[in-house]
Amino acid sequence: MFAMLRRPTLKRPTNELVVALPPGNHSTAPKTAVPIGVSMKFQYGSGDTPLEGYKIKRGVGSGGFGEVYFAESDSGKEVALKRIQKNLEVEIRGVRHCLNLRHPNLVAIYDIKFDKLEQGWIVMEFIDGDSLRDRMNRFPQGMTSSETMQWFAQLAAGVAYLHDQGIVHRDLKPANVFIDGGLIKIGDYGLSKYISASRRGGQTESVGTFHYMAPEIGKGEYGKEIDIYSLGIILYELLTGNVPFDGESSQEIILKHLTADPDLSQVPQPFAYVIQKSLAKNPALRFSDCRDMLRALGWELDASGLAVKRRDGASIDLPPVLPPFRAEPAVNKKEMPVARPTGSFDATIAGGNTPPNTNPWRYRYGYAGDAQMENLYREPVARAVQQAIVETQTFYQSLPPGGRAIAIVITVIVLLSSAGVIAPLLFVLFGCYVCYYVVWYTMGGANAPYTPSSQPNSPMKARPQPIRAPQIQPATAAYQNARPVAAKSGLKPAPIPYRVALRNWQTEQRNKLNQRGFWTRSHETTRSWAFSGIVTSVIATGAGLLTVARNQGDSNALVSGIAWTGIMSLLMTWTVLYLTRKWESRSEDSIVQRFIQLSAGVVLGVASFSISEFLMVPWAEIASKPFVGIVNDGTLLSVSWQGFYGENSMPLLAGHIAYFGSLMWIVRWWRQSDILRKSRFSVWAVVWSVAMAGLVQGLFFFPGPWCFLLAGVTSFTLQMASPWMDPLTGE
Amino acid sequence: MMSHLARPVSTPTPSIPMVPPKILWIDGVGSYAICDQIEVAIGQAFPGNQVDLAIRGDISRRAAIVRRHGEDHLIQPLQTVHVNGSEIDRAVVMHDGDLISLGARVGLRYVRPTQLSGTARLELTGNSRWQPLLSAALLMGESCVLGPESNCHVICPDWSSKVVLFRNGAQWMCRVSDQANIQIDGKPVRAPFPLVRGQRITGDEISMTLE
Repeated sequence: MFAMLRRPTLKRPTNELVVALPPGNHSTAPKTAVPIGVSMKFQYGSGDTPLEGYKIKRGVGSGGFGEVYFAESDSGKEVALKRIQKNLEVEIRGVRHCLNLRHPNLVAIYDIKFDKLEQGWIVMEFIDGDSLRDRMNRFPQGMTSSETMQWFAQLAAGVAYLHDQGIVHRDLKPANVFIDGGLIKIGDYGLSKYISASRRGGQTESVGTFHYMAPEIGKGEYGKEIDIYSLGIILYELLTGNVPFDGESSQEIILKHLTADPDLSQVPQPFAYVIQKSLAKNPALRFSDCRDMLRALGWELDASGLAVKRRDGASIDLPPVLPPFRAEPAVNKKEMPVARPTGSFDATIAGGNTPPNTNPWRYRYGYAGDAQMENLYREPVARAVQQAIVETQTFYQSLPPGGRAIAIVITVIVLLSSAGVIAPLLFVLFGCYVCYYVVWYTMGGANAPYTPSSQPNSPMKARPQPIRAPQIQPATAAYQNARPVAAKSGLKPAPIPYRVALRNWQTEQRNKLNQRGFWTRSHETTRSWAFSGIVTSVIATGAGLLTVARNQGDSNALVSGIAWTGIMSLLMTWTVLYLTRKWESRSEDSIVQRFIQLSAGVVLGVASFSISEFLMVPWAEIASKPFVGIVNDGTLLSVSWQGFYGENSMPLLAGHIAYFGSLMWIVRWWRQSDILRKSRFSVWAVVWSVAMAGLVQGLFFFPGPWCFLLAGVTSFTLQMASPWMDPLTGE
Repeated sequence: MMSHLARPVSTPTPSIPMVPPKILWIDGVGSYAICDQIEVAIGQAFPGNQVDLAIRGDISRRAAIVRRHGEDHLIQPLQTVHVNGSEIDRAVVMHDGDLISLGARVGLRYVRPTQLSGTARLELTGNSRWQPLLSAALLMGESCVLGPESNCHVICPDWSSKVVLFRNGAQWMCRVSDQANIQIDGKPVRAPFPLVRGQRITGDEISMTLE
């Protein structure tokens, strides 16, 4: 209710909205919105004396709850006068509660007065200075660590005092914070609690910016944690010049408050930790007290309640660049892979009638304790498996009881009948994974995204770095070495539905990709090729060793099969990577792409034939039984595909070409390698590829299990080697 | 730096009687002293001190005189005055962006938003403040522009139109660039119109009073 409402010189669309509020508890409506472009009309002009003893000098601003004037008392005291135009009783009660608060970082309230017309006026300290909003606008790249702390420490001290008095501000934002010389003054505190007691009918209320609102406000929770959350947002904005969750519409912003993680890649420690903890979705995981927040930044409150640097200076030695700290905790990636559309948040956030928390996963996880996640979950494959399991569970739970029983029966039947195939396959896959994990770990995979220095060696390095270039603005001196963020726009398009949002985002990103130079692209392709080579050779070697160990010497035949698989999947991966890089900047017709893949498959078939001839792969020995059986029986195969197979059931050139051509035709491999695919690694993509290989095998009787293994390994390698951009963070 | 000292001015023009500064109170923007006299005396704010611009700060009773000389403004020191760090001992011409310090603690910035007009803005830079409270003092040339652009003498960010103040003999006139539906004390008026103390001027986003 307070204070020098400044003209809202905001640098971005602020989503200052007027929303129709449903009946009920809409206490959350922030109070000080001054819609941009609307002229400021003041009832009183300079020289008027509506309130006895005070002469109005000029209007300062007007908010949702009244006009604010600069005035002088008869004796010359300069004050701000706020005329309460709405909810007089409620606001007066709130202000009365705060009348005797005294803290250097709060705008002082002197008195409450009534004029002859029974209008209520709040007499308060006039601050002739910028708001924090104005100040921030002068630092579009963010402030340095010390400048940030200069303001933030005082802000936290003021909020700590309010909390100590049992008052939650509820509407902390830079426009409500003023700078008086070097002193921070928090305004607009006060009425919060009392407003919630009012029950107003479906009237129109001016609602402020959503950028600083904690997610649980939509559920009607107003603990002091919402102030901690707002402080976290302000701290982020001070440092980076941007709010962490921005969007075109209010829904988009709210959705991001509910689901998205802040991008802390530009933020040095200990700020990154403090912001992450303050912005936990779950209020219980945030700092419980402003003092803890300050302490983590190396500051504390002295006996008089003012913020001072800690004497021991424990953590105040701020590292100038990004320290080894993971911005997005893996658990959130895993559990919240996408921002899901849910209902109308306008109504809920304003009215608080229908809690948006229908999906429990959204509130279950905060960031706080998750920074120490095990390496396993940072590893993309393990994470993907975990995600697949969760998805399967969700699917299972969505079935009706009868459906569940049927699913169980089918699963058991399939497992029993094909255990002989699945068990060794799982064993081989697990062996491959162990090999891969060892390589991933030794290459610094666990730390790769955290430490810029180790990035060049890590699998995650296959990130689309060059596309950042056109969008980032030069960083401030303090963060020069920090990793720049990609498209701040992140999930730019409309919030619902997710599928459409993803599509729009993909189109937008594709256009950006289109602008890249030839050299950048070829450089990236080469890097992916090199990486896929490493992965495939590691897997092949691992599988070979495993087979040798299992078969104790009698394994030469198998080794040649494995070598064939390794080489062919590598060639396939390279081919697809090449094609994808060519296609990534445009969305071509799927039919055309399939046809080009088919042609590539023909060439691959020729290569495959040559390689298997060179390696002298004894297909008859190493192929699985049914294949040999059919061939020996001379039934279907000999009739249908005589020209494809030689005497020893050796696939001839035509067989190879048929198999590779079909496999390349039937699976849309480029999608698995697309930089804009949905998730970094999808188990389902691997399963699908193997299944399609099975289909082809069923048609041409190409020797199994090698054809399955080939498809699986290719899919795995392809996804691992391809760069990926997270639709949520745009990285 | 020394270029500021290059143009000393010999004899002071005869001083004219001092009148209390006019203050333009602009709603949603700020308050500006209109200094249209040839000489503007700057000094410490305390009861009874007759200066044109009073600063509540640690300076002399009369610290400096700003004099209009054609299109230029000169500052003549009456106590220790530095311009951009160099102490001056005689009147010097001020240029856009010059930092002037009066005594040890009070800092002023001279801003000349456009060379097309002889009007300049004098802003306080430190913790001291004007008495009465001002956003800045306007050292008036022949005309003064109020509007949303940064090259206006008074920047009014939310305005869509400009207001131009210009001299007509001893009278200040007001011209509004657009059809801003200007009213004076609630009555429609056609531009240009004279700027009279105590009248409230309102328009679309415009709302101001000369005190």
